[in-house]
Amino acid sequence: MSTSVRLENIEFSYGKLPVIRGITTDFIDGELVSIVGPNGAGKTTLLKIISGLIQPAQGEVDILGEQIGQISSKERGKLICSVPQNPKLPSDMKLIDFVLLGRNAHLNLTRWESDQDIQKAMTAMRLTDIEELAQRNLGQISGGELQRGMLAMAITQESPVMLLDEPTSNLDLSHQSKVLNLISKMHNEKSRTTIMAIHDLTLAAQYSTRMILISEGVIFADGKPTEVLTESNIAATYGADVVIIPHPKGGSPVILPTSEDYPKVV
Amino acid sequence: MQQKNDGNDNNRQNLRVLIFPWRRFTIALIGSGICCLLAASVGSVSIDPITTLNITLSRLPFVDIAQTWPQSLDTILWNLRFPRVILALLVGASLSVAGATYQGLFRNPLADPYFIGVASGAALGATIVFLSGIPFATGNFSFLPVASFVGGISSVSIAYLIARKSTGTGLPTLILAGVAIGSFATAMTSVLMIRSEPDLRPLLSWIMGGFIRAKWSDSLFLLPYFTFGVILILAYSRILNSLQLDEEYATSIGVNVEKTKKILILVSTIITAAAVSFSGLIGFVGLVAPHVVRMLWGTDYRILIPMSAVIGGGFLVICDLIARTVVNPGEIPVGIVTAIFGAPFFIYLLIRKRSEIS
Repeated sequence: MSTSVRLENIEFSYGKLPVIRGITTDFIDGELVSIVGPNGAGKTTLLKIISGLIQPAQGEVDILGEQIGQISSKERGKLICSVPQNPKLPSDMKLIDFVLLGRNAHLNLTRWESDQDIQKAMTAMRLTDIEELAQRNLGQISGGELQRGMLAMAITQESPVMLLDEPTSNLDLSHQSKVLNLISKMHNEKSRTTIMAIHDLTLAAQYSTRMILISEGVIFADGKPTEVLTESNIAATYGADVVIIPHPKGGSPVILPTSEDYPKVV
Repeated sequence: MQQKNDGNDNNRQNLRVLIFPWRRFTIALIGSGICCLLAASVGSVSIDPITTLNITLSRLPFVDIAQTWPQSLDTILWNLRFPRVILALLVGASLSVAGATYQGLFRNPLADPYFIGVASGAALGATIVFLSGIPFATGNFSFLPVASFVGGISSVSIAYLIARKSTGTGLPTLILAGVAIGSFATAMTSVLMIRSEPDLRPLLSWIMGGFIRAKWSDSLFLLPYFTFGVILILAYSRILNSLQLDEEYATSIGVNVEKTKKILILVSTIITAAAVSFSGLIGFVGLVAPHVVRMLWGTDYRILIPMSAVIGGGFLVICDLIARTVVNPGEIPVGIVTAIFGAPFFIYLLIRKRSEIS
């Protein structure tokens, strides 16, 4: 197993407010990692640093041996794809055209989308169950369909590393597990490294091979879901009283709030 | 830039992706050509459009048409009407392409070619030359276009530098800086005008826009800017599609957003400044033509850019025809015509679009 993403002592602050305060870790090929932590812990910022969208104040990000800050946008697009959280999208763009944008890193000024590229986009849309919406405008589909559209676009990009910021936030119960099943299937087939920031701890535990709990810009716990999701870790980072029981099917940890006023406002 | 059309065309047809509407494009092209012939035929001396067509064709190499018309018609067409018609066509096409590019780049439907200050800078440049006593023209060379070209480019450059200094060309900052520089330039223009003695009518008519002084050399000057600019923007039209996402998203699919912005702002500003320096400030065509195309043929910039050029060019030729024939004798500034005809049509399209959505 080789390292696909390496973070070396990453620090970042918005103005004077430190957000990431020294994160060092390696992501191995084939890992499906969930980054969890309370609001404002720095999950989204960390994802943006990994994808090269923002430059860390300190430290280095290596993707498959390339320093992310040193390579061109197009090379970066070939290595890493992102599904952002609630981006602003043009409502009058057709879904198929949107998904095709994922091929951008493989095209250039004189080479436009070939039939193969279109095939790839259609395959991704079939996988994400939005094939029949191809001709709809982005403004005419639901939030969940849009989220699957963004996933289809990322699949079309064919990058070995995939970052997802809250991929299930707009999805109903059935689509949550559909999308996560799909992510984990994609992950297993292409042996990508998949890193997602996700709020739902129980859901994250069911699908992740590894979880990283961050709090106040540092890694608080890192390991298998059963190791990271303990009652004491959650009390220390979220300030929430929970009970953790094993899932009746499969045994992954299930988080149950105990107090009446959960989630507690700190 | 040729799209690859080989292979499984059926698939493209079914999915309706990336099919360039060649037939519509050709029809639009022929339509614009007919506008040009019509515009060249109408005037104080009316010429039969068929005769106009024959005279035009007879000028082409390898075409042999027996001359059945008086030489004077040839002179009228070739020395007076066509220089004007072709300049209007080129200016309309340039402004529409620049407008479409700015609308895409700024993701703002209200953007037009003058969005970040080209127009006010060009007007200031023209005013300075006009009032400074520098001879308006020496021989065949006129300083007015040069000054307005330099003025337009300078004001956008200043706005760009200000925006870059503060945020790395954050587009909202660029728009605000453009507005600020534009207001400043307009104020300076007004000050200069108020403090001046000479009769300002020639300057005002330039500012309002028109083709009354059109010469072949104007079109020849504009043509390379237009050609080069449109080819470059067409090459970037696919990337312009990806810029419809927000900037972070576009970056994450591998677009070099900063570089793209820089190139497209530079190119659109140059073709706008070049167009404006001969025609003056003609409003509305650069705003309306891309929207008309968008409403008729969708938002893919690979179709939008060439279609806007053709539609915008033809539209301005017709507006100029109206501008010089509607009052007799004399003419009205073409910018007034573009607004009078463009605004209601635009409103009609907006209402139609609205009723489609609801």
